[in-house]
Amino acid sequence: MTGATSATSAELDVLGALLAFDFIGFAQKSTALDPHGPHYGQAVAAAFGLAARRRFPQGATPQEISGYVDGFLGSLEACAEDFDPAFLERLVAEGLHGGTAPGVEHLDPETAIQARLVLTLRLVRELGYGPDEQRELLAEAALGTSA
Amino acid sequence: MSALPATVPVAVIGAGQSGLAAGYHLRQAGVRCVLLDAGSEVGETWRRRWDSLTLFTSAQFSGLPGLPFPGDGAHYPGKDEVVSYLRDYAERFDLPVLTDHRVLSLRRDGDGYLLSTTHGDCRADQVVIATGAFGAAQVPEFAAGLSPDVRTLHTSDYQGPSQVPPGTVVIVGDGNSGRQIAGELAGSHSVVLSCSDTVSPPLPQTVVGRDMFWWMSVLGVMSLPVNMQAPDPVVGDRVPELAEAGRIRTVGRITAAEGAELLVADGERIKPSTVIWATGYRTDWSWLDPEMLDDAGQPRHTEGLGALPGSYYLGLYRMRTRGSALIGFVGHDAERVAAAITTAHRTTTTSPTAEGEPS
Repeated sequence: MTGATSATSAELDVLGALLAFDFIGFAQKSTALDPHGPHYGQAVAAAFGLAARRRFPQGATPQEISGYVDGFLGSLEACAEDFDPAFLERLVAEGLHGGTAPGVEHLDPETAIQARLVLTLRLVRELGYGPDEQRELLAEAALGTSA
Repeated sequence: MSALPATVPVAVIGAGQSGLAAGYHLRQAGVRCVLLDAGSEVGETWRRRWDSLTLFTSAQFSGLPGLPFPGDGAHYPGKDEVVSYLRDYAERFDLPVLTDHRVLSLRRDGDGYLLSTTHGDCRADQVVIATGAFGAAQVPEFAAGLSPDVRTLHTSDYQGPSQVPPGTVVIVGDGNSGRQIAGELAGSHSVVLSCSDTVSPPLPQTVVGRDMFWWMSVLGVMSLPVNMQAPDPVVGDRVPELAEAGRIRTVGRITAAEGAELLVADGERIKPSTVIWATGYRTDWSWLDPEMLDDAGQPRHTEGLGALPGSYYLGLYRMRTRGSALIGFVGHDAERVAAAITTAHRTTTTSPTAEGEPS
């Protein structure tokens, strides 16, 4: 297994546990992640983008993205202040339109993966995905990452 | 407050983190209360814990309502910091704490409650029992079979390595406390950690660059109902790495003590110089009105709302959520209890003859 493949697999395992709301599995599997690896965050980013495009198949205007981020932050019981709304909006825009939105590539990969993990969970819940759909999403993200 | 009132709308029994959080919310609601604590000072229970004790919640998740825990949010406070914080909290919000006021009995008295304390009696319309998740040290019955020549102490009496004579230390109980103490003693003693049959899931302190409790808070895990049977996770555990390095030995459950030896379930016999019981606590609730207790002698309540009207509980282990007994999360339960108390208080203090008249 190449470094990219094993990193992808580890990240998608972590995301998979999170989507299944297996918190213990999510936390335990996270120890396999390498935040210094060259591919860190790519697999989660791929899954996040897929989920965002499925959630918003017609795309979304900047105002709609801003409203979505507001709603997300408002739904948090705690730690909303730890998220930068502008950063989240850029992540969502990037996920919807593919490629890299201005500013995102310069941000801390750890901050980006944290936000994408939480947002992907929200998106998947909004899509109403059960275990089968979640597996399919992760499989497609793995294919997209390895391409 | 300097003297026990004869009557008070609300008596909060216990001025630790749970009681202080209740006092804060009641103060905010304008409901008069008194906080009665058995200790000689606020924070005494924390002060007595072992010297190197560190919270497994970072400062960001260790604050009571209205006052963030000071310092860097990513820092893990030690027990002395917790003591200072609790004292500051009580002072800052001018909470009516009476120390050295142990409540000896609590009895239903008409529509209210009669508290008998070491400084006399007090009648309260409503009561909050916030005496904490810890009670008396719990030691296995088989401990009586251990020779008096073997030094023993419970985690509640443990202070640090210098207290423990040289030699083999067997720590019985592998929860967070047992593991933290085992990790500390591994630097100076030969440590054997006896692990229970129940496997506690180990969780890293940091998950994807954030404290574990950050994730649990963001994901809403801290406010979910919790299965009482599910074992507590062990957070930031160093035992596996120390065991791999040969600095700690782990064995199975200790089942008996015979003279100078402890018996492991698999038949191994261990001769300890010292035994540390990391076997938890039991709470004696016999001071409560019997009507407040079930057949097992445990408080009757539903998520902190007592079976008897006007009685409430705070700080009990997993009372409502995983955070119910944790310093950084008990405030949620305290807010809920205070809201219920305030509603009941305003209902009983509204005079029927004054309806329609301006307040």
